[in-house]
Amino acid sequence: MSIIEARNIERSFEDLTVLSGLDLDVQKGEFLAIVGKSGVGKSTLLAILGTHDLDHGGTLKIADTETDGLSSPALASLRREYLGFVFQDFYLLPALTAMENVILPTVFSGGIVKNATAQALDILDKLSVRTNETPTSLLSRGERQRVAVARGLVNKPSVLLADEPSASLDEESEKTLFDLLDDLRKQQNFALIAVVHSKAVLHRADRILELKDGALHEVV
Amino acid sequence: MVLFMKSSEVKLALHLWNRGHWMDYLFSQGMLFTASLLLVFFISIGLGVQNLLDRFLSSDLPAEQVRVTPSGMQVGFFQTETGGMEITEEIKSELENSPLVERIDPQIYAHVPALLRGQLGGQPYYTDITLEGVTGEFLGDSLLEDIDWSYALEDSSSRFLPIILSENLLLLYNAGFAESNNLLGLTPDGVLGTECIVTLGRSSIADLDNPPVTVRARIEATSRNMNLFAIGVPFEFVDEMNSLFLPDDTRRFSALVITAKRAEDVPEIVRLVEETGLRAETRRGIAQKAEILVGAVTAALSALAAAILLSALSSAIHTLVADLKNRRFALGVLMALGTPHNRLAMIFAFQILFMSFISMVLGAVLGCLLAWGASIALLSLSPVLRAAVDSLAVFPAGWLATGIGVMLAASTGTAYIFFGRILKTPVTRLLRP
Repeated sequence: MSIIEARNIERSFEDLTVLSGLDLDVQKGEFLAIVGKSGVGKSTLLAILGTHDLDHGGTLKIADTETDGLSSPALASLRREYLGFVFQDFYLLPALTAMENVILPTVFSGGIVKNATAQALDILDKLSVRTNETPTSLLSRGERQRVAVARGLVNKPSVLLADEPSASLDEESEKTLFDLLDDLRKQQNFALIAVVHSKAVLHRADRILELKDGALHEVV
Repeated sequence: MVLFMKSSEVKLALHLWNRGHWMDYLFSQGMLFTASLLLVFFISIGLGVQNLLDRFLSSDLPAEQVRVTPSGMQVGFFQTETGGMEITEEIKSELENSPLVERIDPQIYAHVPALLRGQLGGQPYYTDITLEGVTGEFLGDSLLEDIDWSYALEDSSSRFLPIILSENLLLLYNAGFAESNNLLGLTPDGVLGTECIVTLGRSSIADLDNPPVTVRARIEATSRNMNLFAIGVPFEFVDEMNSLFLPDDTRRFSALVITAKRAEDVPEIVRLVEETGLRAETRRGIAQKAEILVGAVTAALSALAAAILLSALSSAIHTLVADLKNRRFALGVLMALGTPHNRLAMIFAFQILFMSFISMVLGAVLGCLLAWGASIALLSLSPVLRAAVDSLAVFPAGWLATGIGVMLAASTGTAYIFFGRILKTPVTRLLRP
C-alpha cells in the first residue's frame, strides 16, 4: 500500500504553471530522491505533499486519507502523525536551543515530552549536534541543518519530506546524516522523499525522479 | 489527542514560546496594567471630586420651597451692599395672602454686634459673630422632636440658647481660621453639643450704648442650607434682641422660606417674588447652577480619563498585535509541524487573555490603592476637604468592573481577531520571510 498517492497534481502561480498532471506513489520505507533544475517546483511539490500548500489541483492521499476538504485540525493531525519535515531554510526558532527546537512540536501537540526528549537526545547525539544551552541562532549553518533533520525525525514519521537536507553539510557530515537516515529508515520503515543534488546521496536512493515540465520522470 | 494541557505542559510551552520575546510580552502586559491602573485611578478620583462638588453645592431646599432674599446684601450688623429691595412685613403679608402659598418661615439677622466665646480643642476661643433668627423649619421635623427651638431672654437662666450652625460657616472656619492657626478642623458631628457664651451688643469692633446681653448657648444641630450664612438661633430671640437694642428699627427679614401648596406652583411663586424686586431661589435653580459646575468638572475629568484610557488601550493593543506579528513565523513553524489550532488557541488564551486579565486586575488593585492613598494625602492637607467628605476616592465596583471588562475585551478581542487571521493564513505564507 502506498503511503502517499498523488494523482494529476496541478499547481500554478498566476500565469506560471509549475506542476501539471503530476502523479506519484510512494511506498513505505523507500528512499525517493527528487532532482531537477532550480525553480522547477521541487519545493512546491514537497509543500503540496506536506499539506502546507493546499491550492493545488488533483488528489492527494496520505496513509489512505484524501487530503482534499479536510479540516484544519484533521490536516494538522495528519501532519503530526505521518509526516516529518526538513525545510530548505530549516525554519528553526532562533532563540531556542537545539533540543528545544526538536521537542517543540511535541510540546505543543500534547505528545509525551519525556519520550521526545530521549529520542531527540539520541538523534542529536548521532548527528553530533551540541545539546547545551546555545541558541540555534548561534549554531553554524551545518549544525542548524542537522537540528532541522532531528526535528523532522523526532515524531517517528511515516514519511520524511526533506528539501535539500544536506545542502549545508560537508561530505563527511552528509555521509553521517544519510547513514543515520538509512539506519532509522530500516528501523522505523519510514519513506524518505528528499530533494537532493549530491551524487553520493543519489546512489543511496531507491528511486530517482526528475521534476521536469511539471511532472516527475524516473531517472534510470 | 488530549485537548487540555497539563499545567506543566502549559508552563513548558509558554517557556519555549516566549523565549526571546519576554521583554515584548512584559511590555504589552505592562501597558495593560498601566491602562487599567489609570482607568481605575481616574474613575475613583473623578467620582470622588464629583461627590465633593456635589457636597459643596448641594442644598437641603425641598422642591416645593422658594427662598426669598433681599436684592441688596446685608449680613447682620454688616451691610455690604445698599440700595436693594428689602424684605418687609408688607411684602411678607402680601406673599402670605397668595392662595399658592402654604406657609412662610421668615429669617432675620440680629442687627447688633455679637461675640462668641468658648473652648475649642482645650484652647479658649472667641470670635465676632452674626446671629440669624430662623424657625424650626431649618431643623426639620425629626430634630424638632428633640430640640426645643423656642427661646426668649427670660429662658437664659434655665436653658442654653439652641444654636444651629451653618456647615458652610464650618467650612469657612476650617479653610480660614483653623488652617492659618494650625487648629484642628471641625466636622459637623464633632461640633454637636459644644457649649459657648454668646454676648450681644458688643463685639471686638463695635459696642452699643445698651448694656450687653450674655447667654449660654449650645450647638444643637448643623445645616447645609445655603441660605444660612451665620449662626442660626430661634427667630423670636433675634427679634427680641433687635427690639431691645434697636427699638426704632423697622423689622426687616434676611430671608423668607416660602412653602408652596403644590410643587408645581413654585414657578408662579417665583414670578410673584421677582415682581416685588426680591430674589427667589429654588432647588431646581440651585441644582442647575451646581450642575453646570459639576458637569464641567466631570466632563474635564472624563475627557482626561478617556484620553488616558484610549492612549493606554491603543498602546496595549498595538503592542499585543505587534507581539503577534513577530510570532507569525513561529506560528507558521508550529502549524507546519502539525500543531493543532486549538492547542495554539489555548496557549494564546492563557498567554493573552488570562495573563491580560491578571495584569488588568493587578493594575486595578494598584489603581484603587493609589486613589485611596491620594485621597488620604489630599484630605490630610486640607481640613476643608476632610470636613466635607470622608474620602476623595470612590470605588463603584460595577463601573470599575465594566471598565476593566471593556478594556480586556477590546485589547484581547482585537488581538484574538488578529491571531485568528494568522491561523487562517496558509502555512507557506506564514513561513515566507
